[in-house]
Amino acid sequence: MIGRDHRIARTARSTGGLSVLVLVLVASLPLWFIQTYFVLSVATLTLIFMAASLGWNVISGFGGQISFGHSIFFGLGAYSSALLQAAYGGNAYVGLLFGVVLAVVVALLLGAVTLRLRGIYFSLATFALTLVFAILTGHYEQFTGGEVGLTLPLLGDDPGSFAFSDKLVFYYIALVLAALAFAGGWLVQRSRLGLQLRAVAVDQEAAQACGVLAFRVKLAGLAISAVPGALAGSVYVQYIGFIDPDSAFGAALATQIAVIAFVGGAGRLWGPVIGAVLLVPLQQLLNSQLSAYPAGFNLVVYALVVLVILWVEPRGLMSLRRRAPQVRLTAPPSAAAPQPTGAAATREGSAG
Amino acid sequence: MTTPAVSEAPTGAPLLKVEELTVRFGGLVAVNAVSFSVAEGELLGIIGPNGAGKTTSFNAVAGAVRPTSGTITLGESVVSGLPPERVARLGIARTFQSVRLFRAMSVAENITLAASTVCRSLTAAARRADEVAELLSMGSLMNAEVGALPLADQKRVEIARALALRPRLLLLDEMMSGLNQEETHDIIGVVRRLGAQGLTIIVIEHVLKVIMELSHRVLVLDHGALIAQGEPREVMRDPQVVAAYLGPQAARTFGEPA
Repeated sequence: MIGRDHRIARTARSTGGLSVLVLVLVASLPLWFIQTYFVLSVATLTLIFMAASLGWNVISGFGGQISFGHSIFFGLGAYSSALLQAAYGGNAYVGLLFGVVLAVVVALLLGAVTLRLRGIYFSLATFALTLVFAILTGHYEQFTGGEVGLTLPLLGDDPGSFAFSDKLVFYYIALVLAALAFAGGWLVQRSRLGLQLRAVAVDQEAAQACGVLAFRVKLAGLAISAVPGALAGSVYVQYIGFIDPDSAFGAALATQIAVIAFVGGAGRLWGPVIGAVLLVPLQQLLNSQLSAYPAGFNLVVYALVVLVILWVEPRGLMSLRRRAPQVRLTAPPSAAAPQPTGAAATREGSAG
Repeated sequence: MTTPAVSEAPTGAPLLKVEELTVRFGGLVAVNAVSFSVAEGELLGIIGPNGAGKTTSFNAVAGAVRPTSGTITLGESVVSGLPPERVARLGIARTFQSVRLFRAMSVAENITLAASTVCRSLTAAARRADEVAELLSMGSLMNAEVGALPLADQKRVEIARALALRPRLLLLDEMMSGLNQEETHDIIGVVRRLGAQGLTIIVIEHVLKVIMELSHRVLVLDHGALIAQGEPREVMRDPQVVAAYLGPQAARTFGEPA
C-alpha cells in the first residue's frame, strides 16, 4: 500500500527529471554540436518523426493495436496546412489547427470501423486506408495538386505565416512539438485511460470482464494518438515547403512511424525517442551516402539494421537495459498464461 | 475432518434468475434449457463432468457468450444479451478457469484497473485496490509483477480484481485447479470469508470435496442439462448424479439404497 505510492512517485520524479535533462541537452545541441545545415536538417526531421511516433505509441504501444496507417494523420496535417496556404492563401497556423481537428475526426470515423478488428486485421486495415488516402490525394488534382504535389509559396521571413528564413527556428519548433508529444504520452500513461489501454493490449476479454469499455477506450486512444501525427505533418510541410501524396500517405512513411517505435521499444515512453534518434539520422545518412551505388543500397542497409536490432531484442532497444516484459504485442488472449504449475510444485515441496 | 459446511442457506429474494438458458454453438447444444436462481447471500456450487456446460453457463451469465435463448436477470435488470463489460459494471464479477491476469503489470495495477471502471478517479481506484488487498491480506504483494507470482497467489489476485468491481455476484471458475491441498484450503478459507460477509457467490468446481465444504446448494449439469439440484449431501446420493460421474454400473452399486 505504502510501497506502491512511493514507487509511482519515484518513477514520476525520475521520468520528470530525466526528461527535463534531455530537453535541455537537445536544446543546447545547436550551440556545440550542430555545425552544418545537413546536421541541423537531420536533427529537425528526427524530432518531427519522433513526435509522430510518440503519438503512434499511445494506441499501438500502450493499447497494443498496431497501426500501419498513422501516416494518415501525418498526411492530413501536412495537406491541411499546405492547402490552406498554397491554394487559399490562408494562415498556416489555422491550417495546423484545422489539421489536428480533421485528424481527430478521421481517427474517430476510421476507428469506429477498424477498431472492431483485432490484431493483424486492424494493422492491415490501417495500412490499406493510408494507401487509399494516397490514391485519393493523387486523383483529385485540381484540389490537391495531384501526384505532382504542393509547393508552398516562398515567403522569406514571415513568422505570422509560419515562415522562417533561419532554419534553426524550425529545429526549436520541432523540439517543442516532440516535447509536447512526450509529455502527452506521459500523461496518458499515468491516467486511467493509459491503464485501461495497457490492459486491453494484454487481454481484451479479461479487461472487459473487469468492466473496461474496450472499444471506447481504444477509440479514445486512437483519437489522442492522431494529434501529434497531424502536428508533425504540419511542421514537416512548413519546414520542407513541399508535400506529395507519397511523402504524406505513402507506405514508407506509414511503416517508418511504426518501425521507429518498434526499434526503440513499443509501449515504452522513451521507445520512440530512442528509435527516432537512431533511425532517422541513419536513414538520412544512408540516403546521402549510399543511395546511388547501387540504387537502393541505402534501403537495404537500413532494413538490415532494423532487422538485427529486432532480432537481438524483439521488444526494442529500451528492453536491452532492463530485460523486463512490457507489452506483449502478439500474444492472443486465448493462448495466454500456460499454468506455472512448477511454482506450485516447488511450494509443495518446500512445505513438506 | 471437514469443517461443518456453511451456515444455513439464506432464503432471501433471488439475486440472480436464469430462465430457460440455452446456448448453441453451431449444431452443439452446450447448455439446454437450464433454469435456476441464486438467493442473496447464497453460495451455490455447480458441478458436472467435463463438457457438461458449466463454464458455458458461466460465460452466458457474465456476458462473454450470448445466450441462444433464455433470460438472465440480476436483481431488477436483465443482463442477458449485454456485453461483458456492461454486465461487469452491473455487478457480476468473475475469475477465469485458467488465470488471466494482466501479466506485465503489478498486483496493484491489476486490481486498480478493475476498480478504475467503477471508481470516479484513478486515485479513488487505487484506494479501493488497497482496501481489497487489505481484505484478502495481500498488501505485501502489491508491488510484485503478477507474472512472477506462484499460481496460488495469482488466483488470489484474480479474486481481488473481481472484488474491486464491488460485485453483487461473484463467479469463481475452478479456482482450485493446479493448487495443492494447502493452497486449496487457503482459497476455500477466502471464499468462505467472503460468503460470511454476505456476498453471493457461484462456484464451479471439479473437486467435489470443495463443493461439499463450500456450498449451501449444488446444481449438477450433464450434457448441458440440469439433472439435479439441492443440498450437497442429498445431491451426492442422487443415482443420476452418481451415474453421470461414475457410470451407470457404479450408480447401481453405490446409489441410493432402496
